[in-house]
Amino acid sequence: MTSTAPLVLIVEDEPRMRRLLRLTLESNGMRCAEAATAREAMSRAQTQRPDLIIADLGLPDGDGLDVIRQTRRSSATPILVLSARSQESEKVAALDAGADDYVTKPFATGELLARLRAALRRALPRSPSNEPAVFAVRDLRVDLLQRRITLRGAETHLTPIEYRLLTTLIDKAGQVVTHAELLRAAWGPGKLDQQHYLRIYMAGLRRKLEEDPAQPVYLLTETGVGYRLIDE
Amino acid sequence: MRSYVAATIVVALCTALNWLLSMWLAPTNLAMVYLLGVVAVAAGYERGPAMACALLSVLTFDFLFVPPVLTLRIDDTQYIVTGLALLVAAVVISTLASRARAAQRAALLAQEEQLRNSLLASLSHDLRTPLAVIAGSASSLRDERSKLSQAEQDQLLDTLYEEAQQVSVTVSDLLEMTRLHAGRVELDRQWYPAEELVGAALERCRRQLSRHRMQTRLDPQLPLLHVDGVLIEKLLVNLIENAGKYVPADTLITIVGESVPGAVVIRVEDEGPGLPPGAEERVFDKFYRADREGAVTGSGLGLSICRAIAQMHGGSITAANRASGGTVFTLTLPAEPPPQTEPQ
Repeated sequence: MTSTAPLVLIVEDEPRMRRLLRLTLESNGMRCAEAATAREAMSRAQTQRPDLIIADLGLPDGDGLDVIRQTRRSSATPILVLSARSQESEKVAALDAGADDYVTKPFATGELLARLRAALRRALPRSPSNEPAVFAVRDLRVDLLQRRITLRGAETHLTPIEYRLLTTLIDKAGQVVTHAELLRAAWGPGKLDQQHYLRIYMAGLRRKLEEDPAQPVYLLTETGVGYRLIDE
Repeated sequence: MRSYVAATIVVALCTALNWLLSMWLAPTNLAMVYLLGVVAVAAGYERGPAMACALLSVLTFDFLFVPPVLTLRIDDTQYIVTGLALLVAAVVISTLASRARAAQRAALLAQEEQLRNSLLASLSHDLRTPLAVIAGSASSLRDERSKLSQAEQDQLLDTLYEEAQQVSVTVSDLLEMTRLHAGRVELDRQWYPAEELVGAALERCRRQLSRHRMQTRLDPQLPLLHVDGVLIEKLLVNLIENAGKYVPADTLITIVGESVPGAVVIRVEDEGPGLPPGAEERVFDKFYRADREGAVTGSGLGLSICRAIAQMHGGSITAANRASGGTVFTLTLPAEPPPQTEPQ
């Protein structure tokens, strides 16, 4: 984290939800700004330059998706969407519009904070000098320079496509990566409608990295949306 | 209009049959064939077509079979009785049939009414109870905090969280059930490895099942499933959570995936107390609960949602007690020829 506390813009029309979010974030050392409408959200995003935006999609004066698109036009501020379960198409639409991740309501505080940390970490300015050369979580260690993957100290070999999938997930570790993003990263734009390719290769990747591929620990499935590589 | 056409066809068929039979039978007996036709039409349609069928039958009968043939004249009075009897039979039977149909409709309405009532009863129980507990716990924490030990406060906080989750589950189950039953859900079928769906479901149940032992045994040769992944995951989550609720902590829950001819079978097996005798089918009813006393919480909709999802996929789901003790839920999904995949 940066030396000053990060500023989070809460875009939510329900005052009670705003209060809960403010309480949670401030007690975890963040500063908060609030917006109850899409218009207010867009102007505050311009003037206050938040480090992160948490946005509910249902707003009284417009679609939360518009807020995401508007914001994306001028900045790369990470955007976290609050969404209800069983609205996978809504989540995908928000991610396609430029949101970075989502949290399903009702959420546990721990989950919300983990998503926030992942989004803030990814937003840190990068340069070749601070580009992480090694990704390590639990027993998995990926040396991105030497392309070496070790699991509990033993080296594992991946096919080129499996490696591309894994590095795409590492690049957004802790955050959801949509099917479309992964398909594009591994096969280019030609196979975007071939989700089963992706599932078959993800299954292969799990067989190499997970102790029990049917109870994955590293590569989590967000059914209907994409995949998430754990980062903590 | 279609019913009148059907009535005419019936009369034509009876006439054809009678034309064959007239070589052996006296005309009075031929009236019995028309009577059969009238009964059939009266039972199947409203009174209008039934009367039309009877009238047409009487006229055709008179014209073709009653001497003098090919006239509408009747010389023998016994045929007047026959004709009248046909008409009366049409009236009586169509009246009875429409009464039976009305009773059936009323029964159906009563059934829906009962469902609505049990829905309301269940709703008020499933929402009021946790809400009362939430309000009570919260007010204790607000007003009595100084008198409560740290452990007691923690307990109240846990209760608050669990009961709020419960309300959330009940509401989303109700919405899901309504959505599925409104018939507006279109399946978003994609090809999934069973392993991925089982894994995603287990991940979502991890919190609730932290005190159970989970095991998976999936045949590595299982074909891809052509299903709506979100719905099948929901189905599996409901099955696994259901097992978790009814078996004691530290009990083994196993998820088995097998290939059988023409289908893929996924079973959720537990080593718990099993189902009450005779409940194997009733567990899928809306608002059925094995434990009425309320030690186990839930919307009572989970398994009926499972069945609705399985049926939408052309599959089935059944429950049984295992010979070795415990319950097994068996989901059967039709296997489809897998999609083409090129080598890498």
